Amino acid sequence: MPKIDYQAVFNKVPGLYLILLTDLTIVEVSEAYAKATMTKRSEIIGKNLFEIFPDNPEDSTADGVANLRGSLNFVLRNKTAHTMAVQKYDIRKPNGKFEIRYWSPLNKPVFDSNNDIAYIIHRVEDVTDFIRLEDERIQNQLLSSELQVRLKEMEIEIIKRSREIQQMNAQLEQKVTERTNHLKEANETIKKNIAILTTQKKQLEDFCNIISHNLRAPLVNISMLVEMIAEDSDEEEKRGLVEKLNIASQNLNEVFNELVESIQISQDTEIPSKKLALETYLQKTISGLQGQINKTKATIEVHFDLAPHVHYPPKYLYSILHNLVSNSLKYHSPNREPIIKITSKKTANSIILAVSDNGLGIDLKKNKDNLFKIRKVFHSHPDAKGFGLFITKSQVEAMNGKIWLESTPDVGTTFFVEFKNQKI
Amino acid sequence: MNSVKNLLLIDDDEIFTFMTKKIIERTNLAEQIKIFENGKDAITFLESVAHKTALLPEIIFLDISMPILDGWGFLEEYIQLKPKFGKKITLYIISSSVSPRDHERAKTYSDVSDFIIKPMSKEKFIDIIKNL
Repeated sequence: MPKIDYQAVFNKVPGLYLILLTDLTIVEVSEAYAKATMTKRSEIIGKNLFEIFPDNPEDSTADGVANLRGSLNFVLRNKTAHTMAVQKYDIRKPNGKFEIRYWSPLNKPVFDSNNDIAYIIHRVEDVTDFIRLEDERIQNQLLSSELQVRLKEMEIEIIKRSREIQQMNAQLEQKVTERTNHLKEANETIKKNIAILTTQKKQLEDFCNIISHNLRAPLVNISMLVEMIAEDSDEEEKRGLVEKLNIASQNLNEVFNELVESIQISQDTEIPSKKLALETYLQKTISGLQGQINKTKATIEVHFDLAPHVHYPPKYLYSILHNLVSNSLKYHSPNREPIIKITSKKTANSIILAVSDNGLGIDLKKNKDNLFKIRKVFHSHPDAKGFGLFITKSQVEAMNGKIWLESTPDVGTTFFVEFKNQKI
Repeated sequence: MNSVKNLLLIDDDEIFTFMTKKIIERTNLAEQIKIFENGKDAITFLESVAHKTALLPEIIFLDISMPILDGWGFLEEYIQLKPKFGKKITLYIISSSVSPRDHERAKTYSDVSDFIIKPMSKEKFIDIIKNL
């Protein structure tokens, strides 16, 4: 097959074609187009479309430039072809005077390999003669001047109507865009609300769980003890039961207080945050735990240089640090002296605090459901009470953060706390 | 009247196990009551007596909420261990939980005969032993 000379083919193509770049620079023109618009190829290539084809300054109603620009913008925005209504667009003659012309234009995009618009094909048909011929024919045939007037009116009407349609199209397009944006926003809101509801459902489930497991258990004990005390006649035995009753009611009290505290935390969403230096709060924690640190011969390593500050309620930060460090001290391995590393780092909008130790570790497979529940412990340790993690989790989640951990039994545990919305 | 030789009570709540042991003792329907305060200790015991039929319990009362290995964790290991036992063991969950979720979950284990909501009265215990 011989190679086709597309340049020559395009020049001679029987139709009025202009090729535009996306910035509306003219890059190619068919001979027929140049002839119809009384321009020269060499004078218009490389020029902007509207520089070559301005509105007729003598026609105060001229809207050719505006409508053509609108159509081209539509093509660029929607990556699809656009056919314009019949458009009056006068052409500048070489002598500078304008000649009345009517056109039927079509603008169509050409895509590159990335599916971006490379060119726009602008094709027109000159319908001036048609409109003029029609005019003459009617002038010859119609004797009644009234009918002539009406025809003129009708012609104007047609142009007016087609303009209106074009305007309505533009408005419609704008409305569709607005609606789409509204829908997008509404969707986002729904997504956010679902996330909130999911969290609240989870909290409610946790709450029911606490009521049924942790509050009901001591209550059952108390009622059993009371019943038995009533039945028993032996004074000695009664005294023992009363002692147990005391323990059970203390237990109920503790669980109850803890539950109340966690509810207060989750309700108190307005608690003020301050810019806090992690170092300062860790030093407080360390001095509070000095006794245990000395006893266990623990080494504490601190690296806060990547993110030295957080924006947080002071009380929560202290409580979180205290609970995590005291957990690491409490569950240290009897086979090695504890090394506790506390670090902070920045991510896009958050700060992540990590507290890692070389302690007993937790079997995450067996305990994954129970990790942060009230009064849950994973070790048969005399100090184990499971208080800290439940409250810590409440405090972290009340500020929209996250807490999670990685752990290997007998190697160690790392707790991570994400502080959200940190613009420090 | 039926009675049992060995009974296992697996629960970390000392007051509850103390009281329940007392209640059971007063019925004179159980010779030996063994108490374990978490699932892991109970599994360790069952493993050690798996082939000693005389020492295996006839009945187990299992709590759900316990440290180290909870009731669900115990059940998973118990199912693995069960084929080794040369004896029929009846297992009841005994829990303070009134949460439907726990009750539904218990139903998924064919080895769980019933879910007893704490406390367990003397009459309830006698009833259970009668129907063994």
